Amino acid sequence: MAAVPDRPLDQATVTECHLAFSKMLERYAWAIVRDWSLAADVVQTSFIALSRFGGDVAPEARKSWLFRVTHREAIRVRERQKPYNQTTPLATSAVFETHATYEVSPLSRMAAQEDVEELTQKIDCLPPEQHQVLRLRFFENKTFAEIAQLMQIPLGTALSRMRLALERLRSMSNELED
Amino acid sequence: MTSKNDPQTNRTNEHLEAMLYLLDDPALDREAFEARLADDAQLGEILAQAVTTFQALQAASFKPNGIAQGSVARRTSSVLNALPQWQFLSVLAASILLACFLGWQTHFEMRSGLADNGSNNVVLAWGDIQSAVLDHQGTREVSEFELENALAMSDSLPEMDVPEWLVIAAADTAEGFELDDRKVIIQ
Repeated sequence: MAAVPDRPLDQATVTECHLAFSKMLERYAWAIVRDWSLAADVVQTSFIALSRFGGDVAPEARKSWLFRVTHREAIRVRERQKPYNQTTPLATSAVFETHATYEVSPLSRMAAQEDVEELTQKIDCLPPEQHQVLRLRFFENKTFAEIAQLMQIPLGTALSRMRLALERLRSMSNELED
Repeated sequence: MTSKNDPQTNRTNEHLEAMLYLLDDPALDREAFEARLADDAQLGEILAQAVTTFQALQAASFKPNGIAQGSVARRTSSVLNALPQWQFLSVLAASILLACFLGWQTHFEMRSGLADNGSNNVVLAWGDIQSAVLDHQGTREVSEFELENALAMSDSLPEMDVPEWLVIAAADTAEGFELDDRKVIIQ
């Protein structure tokens, strides 16, 4: 007797999940594939999978299920692309350009710009040693080992300063997510 | 870089690990991190959150006055402080130029009209007189001069004799000219 492959989930639940998790999953997928277009494709595939096979996934497990599917799909898509070279510096200047194609409205782009302004101000309020680590890492694209060497501090201290800086900035990023 | 033994500490460190992952920093074992990602939705959430921070930091650092060049707030305020002086000088210079231009243009248009047509010549000159009278009364400015308005307002002015120079100015018209409803005949 042939097994029935599809275990469909009702459309309303899929929509609800999409509203709740799609943005987060898209960012997650981007972290792996580094392309907003591909990330959107990955998330779309994940929700199609949820729609077709998510019928027997417990409601409390749906988010984890979506993350797992998105992870696998993102890895698959990344491997299908040209090999990802870890030593090549990221084309970070293109991060926003690519993402801009996904912005649904100029208003959201303006809001993102305002968020950046706010974050920039917040960066200014960081203690000098944390500010310097951020500057060296994000602008001068130095590794933490290089930063530690430059600042004549242990690698752990450089990482710790970064961690502290991120903690202070996290409240801002929480607002950005909302 | 981390173990899974101390969840509380790890969750704090995972924010840093997520950022290292996004930065491709060699301080992080990427494969091990990705392996953990596959089974840990909470770590996935942390990574997704880090993407937002990462993007904002990238955007901030790529701005011309971003973190790369030191204090943004201080520089912004110094630029703002410098602005009024520039603005004041610019506006002053532009105002002077505009005033000169408008004055010259009005003058030029009047002169052109005088050269083109004898009747217009006299009418404009007459308007000029009336405008001068109004200016003398402090009710108008030269820059607001408009011939039609001046002629319309002339009805309310007291009767004036046509001055000699006006007659001379209109001498090139053969039959004389009309001014409002008055006929002026050149002798």
